[in-house]
Amino acid sequence: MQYKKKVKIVNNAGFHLRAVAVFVREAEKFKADIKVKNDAIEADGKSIMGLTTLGAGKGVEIEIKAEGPDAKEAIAGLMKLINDKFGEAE
Amino acid sequence: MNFITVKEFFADSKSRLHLRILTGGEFLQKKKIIVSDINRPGLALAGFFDYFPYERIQVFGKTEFTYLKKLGREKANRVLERLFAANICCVIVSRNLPVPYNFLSIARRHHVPVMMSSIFTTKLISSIVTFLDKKLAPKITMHGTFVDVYGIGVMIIGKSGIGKSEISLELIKRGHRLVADDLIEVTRLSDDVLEGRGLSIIQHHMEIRGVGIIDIRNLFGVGAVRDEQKIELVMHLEEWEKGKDYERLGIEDVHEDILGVKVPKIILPVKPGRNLSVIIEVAAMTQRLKARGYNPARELNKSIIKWMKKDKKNPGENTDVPDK
Repeated sequence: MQYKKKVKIVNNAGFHLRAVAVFVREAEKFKADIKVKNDAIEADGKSIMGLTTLGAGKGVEIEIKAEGPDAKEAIAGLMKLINDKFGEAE
Repeated sequence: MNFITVKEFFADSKSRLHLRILTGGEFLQKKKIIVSDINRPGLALAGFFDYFPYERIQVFGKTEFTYLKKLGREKANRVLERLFAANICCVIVSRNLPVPYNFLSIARRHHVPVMMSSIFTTKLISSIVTFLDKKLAPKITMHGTFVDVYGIGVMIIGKSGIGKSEISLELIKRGHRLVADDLIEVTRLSDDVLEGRGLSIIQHHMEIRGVGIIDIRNLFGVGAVRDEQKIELVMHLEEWEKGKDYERLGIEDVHEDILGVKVPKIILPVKPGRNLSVIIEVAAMTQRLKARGYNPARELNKSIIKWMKKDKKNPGENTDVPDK
């Protein structure tokens, strides 16, 4: 099963290291292959360095793709995380 | 299709080509360069516009301007009018030559930027072509870790968590150099040459599970990193599966197709207790031999076949035959 969804980064600091680490921790809970795309660059959703390279700041729209048995749940979980600002207090 | 705007071209080449803008600075962003070739518009100035390559950068040098002078003001302005109306991306004047007649005002009217360089025409052209070739080359980003092992660019790929970074770290510790971790920007420089480099801010940083983010340059020194390298070998790490066939001889060449270039590939099964960094070192050296036309498995096979023939000719005489 393959799912993809676009989502806007809403936290102030964007995809900074801590946020990325939180994202990766969530992504690793799933079996599905997860990819995150910003413009032309696509990174592995389970890689801290890769996601950092995307340079996705606040307001940037990224695309999350998931493929695997739990793809749907993975996307839902990651979307929630982004919309919850990675649990950061702002 | 790949392109760069004339604005990007100007920003990147300004100091190298000693460029300045004569007119049309506000059109730089709108104009796109889509080919790396250059045109010297001699034939067009003579009135021949069939096959006129308007998509190329037009370079005006001494010859072009001398010809225009010979044409006289009226004729020259007429042919320039026609040339600039052809939707060309930009014009570069070489060796700071004075621009004649209504050249600039006609260019401006047709929204064509005109730049000037102090460099001689042929030098200028080769410099522009080299730059554009690289800029307009096909590119993709790939996941993996890219390490220079004995001068061979080895791209290590495989699923996340398989240990790409850890293996690379071991290679760096053994004196090899990190080019990029995680995301590699691959550019096809020519029909059979691929170059890999890291992306932006995180280049030469790595994430090691349990330790966190490390800065290779600061930890191991500048000798442990490099910015780009040719991709000559792909190492595909995968979990050891019982019953799966892995390469045992290395007689047949396996390839990974990247941007249409065939790169030799090795599929390496990962199992606890295998010292992969040593295996990668050996694979890189073997690749070097193969690139020089020496395939160890094929050579050994030749010797074996020869030895067996000899054995049949003189049965009983060959004392080298091992006991069963």
